[in-house]
Amino acid sequence: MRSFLMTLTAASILVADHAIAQADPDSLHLRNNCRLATEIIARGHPAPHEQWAYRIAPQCGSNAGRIIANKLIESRTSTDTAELRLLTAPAAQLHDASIFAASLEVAADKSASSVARPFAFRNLIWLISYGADLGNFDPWRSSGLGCSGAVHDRPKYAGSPLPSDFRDQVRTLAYRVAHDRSEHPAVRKSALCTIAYGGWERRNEW
Amino acid sequence: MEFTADRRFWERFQIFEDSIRGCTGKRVCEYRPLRSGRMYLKATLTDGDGAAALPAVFAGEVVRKDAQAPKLVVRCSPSATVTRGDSITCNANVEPQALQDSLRISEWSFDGQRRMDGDTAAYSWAGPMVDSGTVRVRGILLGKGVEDSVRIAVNPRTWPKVQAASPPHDSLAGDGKLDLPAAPVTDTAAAFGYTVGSMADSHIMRDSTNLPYARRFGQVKTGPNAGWWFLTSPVNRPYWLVHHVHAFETSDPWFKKQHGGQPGQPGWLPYCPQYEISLLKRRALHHEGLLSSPISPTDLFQPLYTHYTYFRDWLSTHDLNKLFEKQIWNPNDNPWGFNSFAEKLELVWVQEVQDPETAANHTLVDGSYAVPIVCRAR
Repeated sequence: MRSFLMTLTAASILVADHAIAQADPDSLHLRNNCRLATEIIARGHPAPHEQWAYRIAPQCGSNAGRIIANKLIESRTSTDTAELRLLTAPAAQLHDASIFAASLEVAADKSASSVARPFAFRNLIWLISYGADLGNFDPWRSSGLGCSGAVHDRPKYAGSPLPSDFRDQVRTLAYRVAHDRSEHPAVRKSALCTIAYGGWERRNEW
Repeated sequence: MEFTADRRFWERFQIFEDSIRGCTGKRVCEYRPLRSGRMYLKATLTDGDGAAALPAVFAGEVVRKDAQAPKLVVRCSPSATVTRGDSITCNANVEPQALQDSLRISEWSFDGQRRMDGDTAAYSWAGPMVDSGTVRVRGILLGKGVEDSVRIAVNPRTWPKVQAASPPHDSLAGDGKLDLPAAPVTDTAAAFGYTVGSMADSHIMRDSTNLPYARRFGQVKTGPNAGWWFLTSPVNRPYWLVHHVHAFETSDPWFKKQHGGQPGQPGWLPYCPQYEISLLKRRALHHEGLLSSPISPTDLFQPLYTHYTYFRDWLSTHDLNKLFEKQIWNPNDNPWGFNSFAEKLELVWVQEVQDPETAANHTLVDGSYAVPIVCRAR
């Protein structure tokens, strides 16, 4: 019989501390799942299993991080919101240097699409804010900025280590884009959201 | 003094009376006026042949050298100190008042921004004030450039402290954006203690169309703050939203599948009997804040805080009305390039309310009062 853990959560229930979680690296089952998931993500098929693969991916650490990062770079001109939403979803839980570097690159790239860049910013927000949910992230149509939303106890998994100054890099990019009026409105909105989630603007300075 | 025949100063005859005794008929007359003002002369002009025209009235400005020079004074009523949203009327006056119609207004401004609303040359400027600043008026008086300014102080409104909406909303009555699956998302590979899915969660309200400040702001149409945006009424009570899966229900197929027993693998927790699932349900919903009653008198798990009660207490020390009352936005002074006031308010919400509350709430409630898990699901 298939067995699984009792998982009570998102808002909190299992984990007493909020350290980054790590899946059991010795789990044969996990290794098999991760091998399959990373192949599916890399190849983009079979399509029916993609949702499953991206859900497993955060537990697969740096291997998944590299593949997702490559896909993100490849998709920098994509305007397919469904594809980009799926591709970037693991970054909510997987904190990985490859994903960080790719997200920073796409978010900064003016030749990338105005759909891919906000999703890249969303990846960066997840790295700097504990509680950002961003499930309803929509800087394209919202009358506001389309980035409010919080959640408790989202599990986090470690990939390859982030650079020690990753917050400074995010901050520098966010301020540059936010102040550039030539940027696409959705990209600027995403940069503004990043600044807010970073808590970087002094009170009453907005 | 010289008299001018400028028709603008011609007066109707009936208000003209000979008030300076001893000058009638004289071409030159010595007179010491009591104060500055306008002097009128009725005279008949003749041409070189002695032909007389009808009497005409001439006027000229008299300024006593020992008196204060005429000046422009701007005053605002009811006071230069107002409460945000209250209207103010600023008037440009000439002292002495007798010279008022000698003044030509060239510019009104507020903190350097020129007046754009209404008659820009009017003697007054009126409208609601939302931000402190300096009203300045410039004009031409007796051929000379004059200006004056007044500092307007805007005080905040006193709005009642916002309390958390009670009780917390559950997933069916909340923002309508369910974010949990009908049954738990589980993974057979995950080690105990780490989560790969969810059975319950909670968070501060996050429907951007219904955040506490939504539909509670407006734009000033006239006066020194014309064009500015501000909140016109206190914010709504924020609510706490709890989601939980249907799998907790005894009729749910997932629930029916659970029964106790030993998994067989060394070190693994026993499977959950159904009574344990029911206990976990109560603990979980209490942890989120949906159940306010004690879990059970005999349950050793009795947390001091739930996510909801922490949120409620957080609000008692973070006055949302005080925070949002002072939020204003001037589209003409817009360094962040906002497209709307709603964009600015959302940033304030995220940075000042949502994110800090979420982080602090998690640190305490999940750090100190996490629900103990003593079994595993099938």
